[in-house]
Amino acid sequence: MAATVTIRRWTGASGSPTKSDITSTTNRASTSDTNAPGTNNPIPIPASGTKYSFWVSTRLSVDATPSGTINNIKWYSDGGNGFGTGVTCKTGFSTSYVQATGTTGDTGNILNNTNHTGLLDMIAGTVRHNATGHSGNIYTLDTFHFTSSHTADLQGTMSNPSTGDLGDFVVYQMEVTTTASPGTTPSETFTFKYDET
Amino acid sequence: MAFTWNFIASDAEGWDSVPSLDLLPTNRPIEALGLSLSEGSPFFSFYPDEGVRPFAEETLDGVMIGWEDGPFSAYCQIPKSVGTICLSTDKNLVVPPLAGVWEAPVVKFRPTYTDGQSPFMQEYSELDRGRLKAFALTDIHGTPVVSVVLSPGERLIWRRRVFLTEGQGGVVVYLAGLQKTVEGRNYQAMFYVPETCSPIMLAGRFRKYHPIFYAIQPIPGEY
Repeated sequence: MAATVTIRRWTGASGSPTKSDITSTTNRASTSDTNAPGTNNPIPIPASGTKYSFWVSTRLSVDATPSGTINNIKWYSDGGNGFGTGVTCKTGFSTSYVQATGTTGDTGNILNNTNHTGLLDMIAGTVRHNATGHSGNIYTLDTFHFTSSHTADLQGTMSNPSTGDLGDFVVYQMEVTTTASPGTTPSETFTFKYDET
Repeated sequence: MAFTWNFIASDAEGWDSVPSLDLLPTNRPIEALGLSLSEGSPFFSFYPDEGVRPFAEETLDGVMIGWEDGPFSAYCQIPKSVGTICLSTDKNLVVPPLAGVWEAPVVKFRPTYTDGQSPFMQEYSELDRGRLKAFALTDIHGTPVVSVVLSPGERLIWRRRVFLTEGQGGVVVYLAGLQKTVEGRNYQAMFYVPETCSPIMLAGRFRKYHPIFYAIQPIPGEY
């Protein structure tokens, strides 16, 4: 039997996080640490500077054991920012969960390795994420840097009989500047892929 | 039934078609070679490695496509009607031990052993690799959709490759093929079969930056 694997969005305190299945539901970023915010707490368009969403933490979950092994986990976007003018998205990767912080209804704290201490450096140490063309310490990149042929290569493997959380976290954050337009942005596609035996 | 040959040339986008093999362009690198039964997208497509030019010939039973990559050769037999597509590195063996008319989707796999046994299997770990002669991805009735016939020194590769998108659910592509080390180099010939069986794809060596044809991470016993 094939494993049952879902994408989970983690919210709440790190000691007792809520892990919501977003495999088949619309996932929205907002200025709140909420698993399904809907259109509540949208990211304001600033008069100057940048407003941030609370960062969104996602991870695979193996809900029914694989017959063999799951490995070779990768993550990518569709490669083109379709959110519209003045809206961008940054992505980082982490081995640990850190609850998103900020001022609810106004702005999230920026996603960096100070606010999110678990973020992995994509350049130094174990190079686990494809940051070709970049140098220095990099904890986040433009989300659309990662494409189906230029993936982030995540750590994580699971063999029978096992279930539970699997692999690195993918953590992303929306950024809104003064040139953004009001309203709901178009949707974007973020994909995990993995191999199973 | 007559095939329409399709190709993607490296200097163009999308599929172009010609009614016969003889009319395939010879002066342009071919990125993909496909077969269709009428106008439209191919039901089978082959993606040769860079710098490797495929060869193809029509046979009594269908079409044989192959390629040579240095010391490594592979052959694929595609039947004229909907039937089992077979892959082997031995031109004389490119006939599936089991064959038949299948119905999508592909859901199971089925080995054929050197003693002729061909059991239905549930687990990859149950495979007896020491006496494995061929391996097939099958439909729900056990009829092979694609078959990989192994020669001595070749190792089977099988995977269920899953693409899981937020808000959209999953898509599965099955990998079935072979790995062989020749003169210290690692070669592969692999089928990539979507659950819907459309299109069935064939490619050579794993490609680091390809959305589908990228390398597996081996598990114990593979290589």
